[in-house]
Amino acid sequence: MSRQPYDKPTILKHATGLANKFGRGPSRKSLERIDGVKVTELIERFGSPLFVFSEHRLRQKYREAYRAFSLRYPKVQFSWSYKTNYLDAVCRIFHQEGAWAEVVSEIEYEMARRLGIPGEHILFNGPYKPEPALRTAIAEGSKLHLDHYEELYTVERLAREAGRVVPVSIRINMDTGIHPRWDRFGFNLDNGEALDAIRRLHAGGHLVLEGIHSHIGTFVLDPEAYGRAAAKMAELALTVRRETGMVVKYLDVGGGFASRSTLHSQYAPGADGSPPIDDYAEAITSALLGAGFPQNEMPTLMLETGRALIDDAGFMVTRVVGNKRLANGTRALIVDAGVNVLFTSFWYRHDVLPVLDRGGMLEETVIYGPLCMNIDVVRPSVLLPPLEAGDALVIRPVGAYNLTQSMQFIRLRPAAILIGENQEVDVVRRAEVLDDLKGPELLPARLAP
Amino acid sequence: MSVATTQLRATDARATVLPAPVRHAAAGVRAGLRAYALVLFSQNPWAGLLFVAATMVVPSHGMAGLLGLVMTTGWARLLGRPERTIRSGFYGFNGLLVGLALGLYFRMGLPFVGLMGVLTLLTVIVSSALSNLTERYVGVPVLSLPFVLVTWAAILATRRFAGVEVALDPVLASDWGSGHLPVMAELLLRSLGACFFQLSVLSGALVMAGLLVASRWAAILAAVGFVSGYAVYQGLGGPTGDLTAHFVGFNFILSSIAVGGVFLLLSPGSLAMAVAAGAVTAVLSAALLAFLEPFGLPVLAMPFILTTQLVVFALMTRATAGGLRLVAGTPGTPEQNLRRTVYRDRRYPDPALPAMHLPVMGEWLVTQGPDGPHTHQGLWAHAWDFEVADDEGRRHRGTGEALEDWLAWRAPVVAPADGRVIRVINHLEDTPVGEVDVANNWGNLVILWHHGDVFSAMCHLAKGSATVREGDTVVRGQVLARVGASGRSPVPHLHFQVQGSGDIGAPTRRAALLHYVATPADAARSGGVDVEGRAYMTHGVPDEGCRVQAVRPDEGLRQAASLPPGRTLRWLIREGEQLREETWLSEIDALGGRRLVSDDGRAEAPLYADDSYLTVLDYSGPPDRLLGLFSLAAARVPFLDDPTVPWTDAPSAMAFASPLARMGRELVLPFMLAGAVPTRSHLSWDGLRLHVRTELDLEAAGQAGRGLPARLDLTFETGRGPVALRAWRAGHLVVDAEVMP
Repeated sequence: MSRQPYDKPTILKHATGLANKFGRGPSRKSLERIDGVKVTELIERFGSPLFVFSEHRLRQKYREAYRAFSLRYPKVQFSWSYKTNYLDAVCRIFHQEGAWAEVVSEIEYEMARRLGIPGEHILFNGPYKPEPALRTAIAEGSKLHLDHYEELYTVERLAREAGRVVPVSIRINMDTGIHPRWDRFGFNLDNGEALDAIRRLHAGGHLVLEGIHSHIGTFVLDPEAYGRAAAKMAELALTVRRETGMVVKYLDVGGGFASRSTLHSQYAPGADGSPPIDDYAEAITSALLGAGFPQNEMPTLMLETGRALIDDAGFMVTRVVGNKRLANGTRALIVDAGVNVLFTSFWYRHDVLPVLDRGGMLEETVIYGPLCMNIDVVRPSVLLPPLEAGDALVIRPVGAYNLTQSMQFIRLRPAAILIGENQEVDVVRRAEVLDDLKGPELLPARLAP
Repeated sequence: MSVATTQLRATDARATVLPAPVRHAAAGVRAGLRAYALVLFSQNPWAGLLFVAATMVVPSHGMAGLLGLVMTTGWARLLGRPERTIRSGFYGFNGLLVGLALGLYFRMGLPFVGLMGVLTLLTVIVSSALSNLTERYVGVPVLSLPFVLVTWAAILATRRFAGVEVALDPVLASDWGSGHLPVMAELLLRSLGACFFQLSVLSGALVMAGLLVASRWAAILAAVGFVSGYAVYQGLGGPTGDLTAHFVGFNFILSSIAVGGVFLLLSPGSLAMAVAAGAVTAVLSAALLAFLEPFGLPVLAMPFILTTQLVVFALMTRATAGGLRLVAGTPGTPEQNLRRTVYRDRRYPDPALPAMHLPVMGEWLVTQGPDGPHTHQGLWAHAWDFEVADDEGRRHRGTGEALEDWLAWRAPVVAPADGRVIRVINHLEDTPVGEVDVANNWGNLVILWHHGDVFSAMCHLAKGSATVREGDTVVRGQVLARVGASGRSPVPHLHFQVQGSGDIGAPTRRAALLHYVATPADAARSGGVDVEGRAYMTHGVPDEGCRVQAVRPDEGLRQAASLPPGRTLRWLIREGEQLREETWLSEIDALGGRRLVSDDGRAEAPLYADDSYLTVLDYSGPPDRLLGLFSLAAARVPFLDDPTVPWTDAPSAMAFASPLARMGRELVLPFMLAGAVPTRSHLSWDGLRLHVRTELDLEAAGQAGRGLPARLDLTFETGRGPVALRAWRAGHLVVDAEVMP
């Protein structure tokens, strides 16, 4: 029998089981491996902090989502929301699985084209699409989602100049019974603006309505809100069919499904509190199947799911750089990954798991990032066993937005690696060097050192 | 002989440049030759010409036949019989035989012509009545039965009519050319000649020549049947003289050809049947000879007609096809039947088999297939159980203790075809996981009536989930209910079967599923999305362990690949340094059959399209035409928007072989598949253009692949149909063709 490790005594305020809704308190959790690959080995090879993505989880999540919808609706098409994570490797995995691209700027458009996505498989969203970008998009047949009248007029003019009829879609917003109500994107449905816009584009003669798009919010925890949105969109499509004869080929319900992340305001952990993707699928497809489309004119259901597909597949591997006791006695840890690379810490209570649990009492701990800024708090409070400098932690789920929104602030951005289906490990983005930050700068000669 | 379909051939269309009388005369001659060829189950005009020559060995005798043919055709026109049937030669060939049979006995003259005038009218009337009776109500071919009845009537009548003079010339001719050949060969030739009531060896030789032109297999079957019948007749001690003197021998020959390859698909089994048919005919001939003796009537073709009709009727009423297959549609020569059936059988579902789309959406796992080990047995063998499984094969989340954990739970069930709801059960409880409700075996269900005796049943549905009511009309793809676990259903799953009546628990019928992507049970996913063995199927019967994914309907693809009738395609073709043009017309006939045909009428490719796929059935014409390449490139174009899913096919390459090689292949076709080219294709679709790439497996095709390209790239464009076709061999572009706007 091996000797038990030494456990340093700690004095803690006693929290009784009764005061804790979940009974005897949290079980101890640690995470030694990601997809079978040892985290400590990853740190040895690639340093820390380190973004880690799991190809297996990406594909699994995509297939689960696709299955949820394709079992319930005959024509389903996912489009990968580039802004959620536009690492080439990640995008390619989704494209291999069959997803199109959903982009919101000309640079994202170019990224998708460079990854071999044909124009007609790109949904072009966003409130600002510069005219040259619109020209390219029209020429390459991409799916334009008009956001406002000025854009409608511009596209109409470009279509007239090109001497052709351009298929377009319009983005609409509406009341689906949730808060906040997003009404800054697209045309409002409830006050009739959306139908007016469609009538206008039909009357112009150079545009034809191909799709209707909405995106009711983000991290929406109520699947029925999507059901209501889908029903309203279907009704609009049928009205358009009746009034103008234009057959709407697709309805795009956007994204915004909740992932298993936990909002700071959420009581239960996201893994328990967020509805499964099947519930969203059920709500949306039931609304569409019951809308009364003729069987041969069923529109394709487009989805721009981002977070729900990728969040779980992303991990941040970080190391403890120091232990601290705050003035009030609270324990604090400083880690080498800060909010500049974990932007979503502001909204979500990420899981923070030690790679190796050596035992000892769990204790409420504040986790600070390495930035010399007061706001750099990764978790205000999390139960952790005693850890020493150099010990590794895994923060999850961080697949969505953290990488695209990360910035070089005080520190440079870390490398990102991808663990393949057969545990092969590839660097998909190298760690930055100073030139990556300073490269674009120009120093006037008179200021040269 | 059954009614042969004659389509307005493009050759007729081309003849429009000729003046009308010439055109009519040419059409008339063709129809006449067809009637001659029809006696030996062919439509080949050259064979017809040789048969005409055989009858004209004694010109007056031959003229009697021709007279019968012309007169019946005239009567048929006057009586307003369908032009299609007249042109097929059906009336003409019966009249021809009446003329030839009576011409054998009576001298050509005014009384004979008068008699023929009446008899030919009778022939048309009897033919119409009998073909209606036998073909519509019994389902067997009427063959030359009208001729036999009319001839018997005539022979009996002439006993009272002394005015019709007896002829001797045909009988005298029977000695011509005899004695030079071995006995058996001479007997065979004489019997062949007797098919046209000719007695001379010379006529027999001409008939044999015609038969060889029309069909080599028919010639072989003729010899086989004759030998078999002869052996039985002789072996049982029957007088040899009967075979020629009483025209018995030719019955063996006709029976053998009809049973061996015309009405049955030529196969080792049908060859055995041909031998048997010869023997049966021999016995029936003897019986009929004895039976008719008191009346002084010849047996004529009666033994052959009886044998053939009985065999066809017996085979037709079987429940399962077995080893012997009846030829579907209009029978042709044994070779034509083989060519049409052997390739099409392998490539298309049996038209008699009910075919359904999947009753679900998305990808499903077959957890029990037809003849499954658990419950799909006996009368209920032809059914499928479907469940949903993830990539690792797990069919549920978590522990699977709750119904909600199962991936298939409450997935929508849709109508597999258009139909009417005739039965809905919706009130039974879903049983907890692991438990079954044997009292209500089928659970909640929806039964649809599609047409005739084709019904489909979807069982074990979730309680209260039905969205249709009895009496509702539903269209394919419409949601009916949700997958549940009611009845004998330990875990949520869908039981699907096609059945012969609308009763709950009715016995199942064999059926095929349409338009899906299949992943076989042993397919391994290699890391990414490429799955070994995954393929698109226009139809199939998936087995246990197979994953099936309904292909979503794609109207855009369907429109891009459409070839509307009436469209003309003018191709500009570059082959090496040479430039040439080819023009095709897209045509549709009265029955909806579609084809592409070259403007000179020499090349044609019948095609079929529905909302799932476009397919070129086969190709006939010169081997160097672009239409031939097109028939391979568009052999099968599914409306499937997934470039990662391939499909395979094995179209016939017969048309590309030399005539000699083709004949050789036709001779082995009953025993092995020869002359097919295995192909593998996939497509890409950008919303405007549809590209189909087909790789030909020339190695596997062996001889059949000689001269064919290794790769074909075909492009369709929305609104224009096919626009480009490129062929590659050994990495070089050998044909580069584009449609001129």
